[in-house]
Amino acid sequence: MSGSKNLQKNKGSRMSWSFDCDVSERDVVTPAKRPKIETEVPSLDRVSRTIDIYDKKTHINSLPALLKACEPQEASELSISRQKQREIYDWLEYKTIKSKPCALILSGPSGCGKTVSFKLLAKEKEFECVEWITPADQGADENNRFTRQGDKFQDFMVRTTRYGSLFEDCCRRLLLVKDFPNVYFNDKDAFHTLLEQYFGTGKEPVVFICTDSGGMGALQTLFPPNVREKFGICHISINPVTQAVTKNILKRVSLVFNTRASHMVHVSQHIVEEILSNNIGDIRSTVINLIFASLKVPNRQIDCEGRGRGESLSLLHAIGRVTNPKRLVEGNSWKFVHDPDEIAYFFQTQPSTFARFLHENHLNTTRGIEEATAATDILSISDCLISDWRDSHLGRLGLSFCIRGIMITNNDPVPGWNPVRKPRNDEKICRDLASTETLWYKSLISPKLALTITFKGLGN
Amino acid sequence: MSLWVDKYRPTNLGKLDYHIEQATRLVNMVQEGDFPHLLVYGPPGAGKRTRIMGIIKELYGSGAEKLRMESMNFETPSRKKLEIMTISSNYHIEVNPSDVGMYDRVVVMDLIKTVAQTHQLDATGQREFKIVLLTNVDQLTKDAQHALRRTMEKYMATCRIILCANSTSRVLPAIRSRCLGIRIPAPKINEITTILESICKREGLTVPHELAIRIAEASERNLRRAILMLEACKVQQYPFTVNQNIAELDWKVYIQNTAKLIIAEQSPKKLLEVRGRLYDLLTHCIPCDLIFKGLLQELVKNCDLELKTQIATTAAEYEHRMHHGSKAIFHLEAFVARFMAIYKKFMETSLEAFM
Amino acid sequence: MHGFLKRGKLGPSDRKPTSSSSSKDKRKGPSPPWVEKYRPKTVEDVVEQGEVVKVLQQCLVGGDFPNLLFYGPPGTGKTSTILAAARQLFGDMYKDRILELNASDERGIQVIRDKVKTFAQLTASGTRPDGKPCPPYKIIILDEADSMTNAAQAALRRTMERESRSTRFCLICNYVSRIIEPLTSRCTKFRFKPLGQEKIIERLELICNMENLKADKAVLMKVVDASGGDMRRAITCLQSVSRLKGKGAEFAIDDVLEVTGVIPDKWLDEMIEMCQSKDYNKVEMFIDNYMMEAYAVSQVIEQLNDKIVYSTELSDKQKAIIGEKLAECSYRLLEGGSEYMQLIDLCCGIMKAYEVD
Repeated sequence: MSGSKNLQKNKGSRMSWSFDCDVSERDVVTPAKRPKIETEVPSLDRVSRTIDIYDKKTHINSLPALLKACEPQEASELSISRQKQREIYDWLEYKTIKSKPCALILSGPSGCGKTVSFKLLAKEKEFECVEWITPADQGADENNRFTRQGDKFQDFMVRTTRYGSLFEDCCRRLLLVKDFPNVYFNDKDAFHTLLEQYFGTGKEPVVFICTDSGGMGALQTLFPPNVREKFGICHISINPVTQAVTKNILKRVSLVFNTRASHMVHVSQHIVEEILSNNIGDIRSTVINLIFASLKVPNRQIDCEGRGRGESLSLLHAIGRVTNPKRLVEGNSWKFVHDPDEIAYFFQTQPSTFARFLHENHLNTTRGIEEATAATDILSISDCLISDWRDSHLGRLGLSFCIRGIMITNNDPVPGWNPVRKPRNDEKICRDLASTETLWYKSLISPKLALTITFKGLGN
Repeated sequence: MSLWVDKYRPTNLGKLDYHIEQATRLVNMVQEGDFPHLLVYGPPGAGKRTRIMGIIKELYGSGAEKLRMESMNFETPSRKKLEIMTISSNYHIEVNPSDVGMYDRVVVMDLIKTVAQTHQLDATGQREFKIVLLTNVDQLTKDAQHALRRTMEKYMATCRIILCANSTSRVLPAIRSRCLGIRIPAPKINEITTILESICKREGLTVPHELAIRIAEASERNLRRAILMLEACKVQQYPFTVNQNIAELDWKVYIQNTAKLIIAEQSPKKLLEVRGRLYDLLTHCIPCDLIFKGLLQELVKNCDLELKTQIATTAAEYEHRMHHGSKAIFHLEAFVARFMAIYKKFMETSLEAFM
Repeated sequence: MHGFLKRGKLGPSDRKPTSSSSSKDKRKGPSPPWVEKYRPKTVEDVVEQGEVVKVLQQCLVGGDFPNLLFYGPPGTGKTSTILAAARQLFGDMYKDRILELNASDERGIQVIRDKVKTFAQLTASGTRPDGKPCPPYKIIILDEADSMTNAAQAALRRTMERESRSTRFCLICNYVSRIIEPLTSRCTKFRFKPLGQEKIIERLELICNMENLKADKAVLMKVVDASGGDMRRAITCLQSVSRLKGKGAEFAIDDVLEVTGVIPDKWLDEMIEMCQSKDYNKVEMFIDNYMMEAYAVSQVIEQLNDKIVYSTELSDKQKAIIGEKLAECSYRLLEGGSEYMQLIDLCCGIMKAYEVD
């Protein structure tokens, strides 16, 4: 009995390749690899200088390192198009004048490679990027005074670069803002005053990276066209990654994986194609999906991890557990390997998101239309429960109901690798059908005028 | 160049083409100088707005025709800022409060308050009151309707509210009883035909009577749609022929094709494909209840009576559930899945009987 | 708030111009709703409700009455009765002595605690301004009391006891079962019967005479029918028609139907006929046509209900099936369901009912 328990535990720890594990734990998992590394890296003080060699030869033992290894190394490997690269180069080359403020906005959907590309290009042009990271906790300064996030940000924008590092004054510096302090979303004017201040006294060029998120992102709220015009801020908008580019990148990445992390992952052509077919222009999630899909896990089964270990269950894992439920048969009765309530527990704070993901993905493993009917009906009811804002318990209940329901109805899941897909956004619901209709006919009647909306025709 | 719909819109109550008796009553009412709040209701394209604008013009003269568009700002108690487009003249203001979704209550209350508290500057202005025109009242939340009911009485002295809705089913009885209801049925096929022919005459075109009838029928007694269709036909092909193609609404065709897909095969895979199409419809601003209606109409075509009633009942159930929930796609898909299951079973049993 | 206190009720029966408005407003402002204009001035004027009137009259003679609870269908004169009684008790100053609250006002516990309490604590003198004696208390009228939350009702209970010396409460509601037991036991209950047709017609004829309207008895019958024994609705209907037709015009049955939104019987008959034919396509076509007429589906449900219940052709079982479907559709419709869907579902339900023997 104790033996089997031990085994179980051992297995559990081997399963713990989640994305946020630290390296030390990795070492415990694969102790055999450790001496190898040490033989290849002779002494610690050489590590920093021989980093390139280290990178190319050694095996990679942790997922963070794996992710790092597949970052692009040169411009040709970037996910953004040549033309956009050119535009960024031009900006870095011609628009940035030493000790003069100027600004650039990079926008694009999440995971299209904005930050990575820009950092790489800036490095090539010998810029040093200083990035703003919104402090997570309210730190008191040396005099025990609390500074507001906004003030800190202001300091960053206007002062940071006045005092350069003593060591590396050779390259030019550049401010990078990706993470806007929340205060500015409520108070746009404050942000605009800050911009004004920056353009008055700032010294270094600044780059704002905004993720497009359907109308309410930073680009629309903080940088309306009139503001952009007023300060002469350049704007480069980056498109989602195309299928062809994704393919190339996956090719390169899978090569890296197969040569340098073969003990952890094995990428097959089949998996690459599967992933490609579900690509939504988000290179980051595509790569993560790839890793996840090709992880070498003994008998492909993920044990339920106790909450006590403080590990979070990733959305991808959880969706997989629900859409591919495993049953444990004990005599006449059975139970689920993964307790539905436990899954529900992890996502109780965002029931509607989880339900939408389930909805998007559950059909992949559903065998027949009867099961699909039962499952969709359950989803429909749970949507009603979750949407009821009057009682917060209903949200949790609805989620539990929907997870349980889908696991039970789907008693014979179709096997196969189904990458988790993002649900589509259908928030844009317009109530005025009459004007839509008028517009449609208008486009037939006079194609040229189709875009100019006249409100006279706005019918009843 | 304006569309024919706008060009030939009757500008006063005397020039209306149909419901003439009602029009004279409205003139009567306006001439008395005073009227209660109005609730104008009727299906889309029946001419509600045309009549409302007619009433306003009858009241204030041609000054009411100078329209301007403005955006108004409101703030919710939780300090969220709302912006809403309004169309107004010196005498009236038009708003569609459902544009701001669940915050419509704030808009309704604040708007009427601001309008009612500013008195008419123009002392020679004929009327003591201004008009607030609220459209899509049946889309208002219950909260907003309750607020409206209170506000309506409070500011009776300085403003009249005209409510415009497709149907009164969803308007609170308390509001209905405070308004004079004006029902505007859709124009009859022959009325539409006559109007189409008269428009062609004024444009100097000749239209075959049969084509006019076909257009009128295709428009589902929606006059606006009929006139738009006529103009689209003219652009596509003139001189007209009797059998010429009438441009159908893109989304109707799309729903029909979706229904064909559903009937062709019943499997989870097909359901996934249908889901994509449903998403497309939703993102193209097609209201969910119309999608339901369109699907139902198409899907029942191949079924027997027993099945038809079963499907209609299912549709009604999911349509109602949709209003409870927040993700329309869940419920649309659940309906499609249920239909697939029912239909598959039906086909299998009828096949067995056939063997 | 003060203006509100003075103005009292905001309910449907009180659309009078605010008393504080300028004379200019009075000149050109809206004419008062007839419901207000023809409200009974004294308790004796109240139509029917013999018992209640008798008891109240005795109370008035004695100059005092217990807390009251009036219940009964809408438009049977509950509010009119208490207002008339107040007028008789307090004379011209009755407006200062009553506080009316109804469901459309905020009426949570807080309001009951604050507003009702403040008003109850104002002292009332025992004489009128003109020196005549009048009872030294105030009346608080809580209209639509059945829509108050239970917590608010419970809060009211204590207030009622504490202020019993200076204040009388009058609760008005449609359904007495929704009032919590401790409250009903503190009040004298009066049931208001639905008004008889004859009585309403009598009243309507009086109004017609006063307002110079010509209307047949048959038309008035239709008005009464359409308003379902609700006097307020009947009077409002009369006024609406007169507004549309202009002064001195003749009434026709169609006008009445138009104003009240009642669906002509021919549509209902056609609908039932279609359902009997058990032809889905015909039903679908009928519904399409019907929707074009802009009649409310909620109205169909209401009228159909009466028709089904009193039908002699249908068996009890059929009635039960249809009744259930009616209830379901009505509920969904109120919750925001699409009219088309619910109507088609309803028709399917009726079709099914006809298949049952």
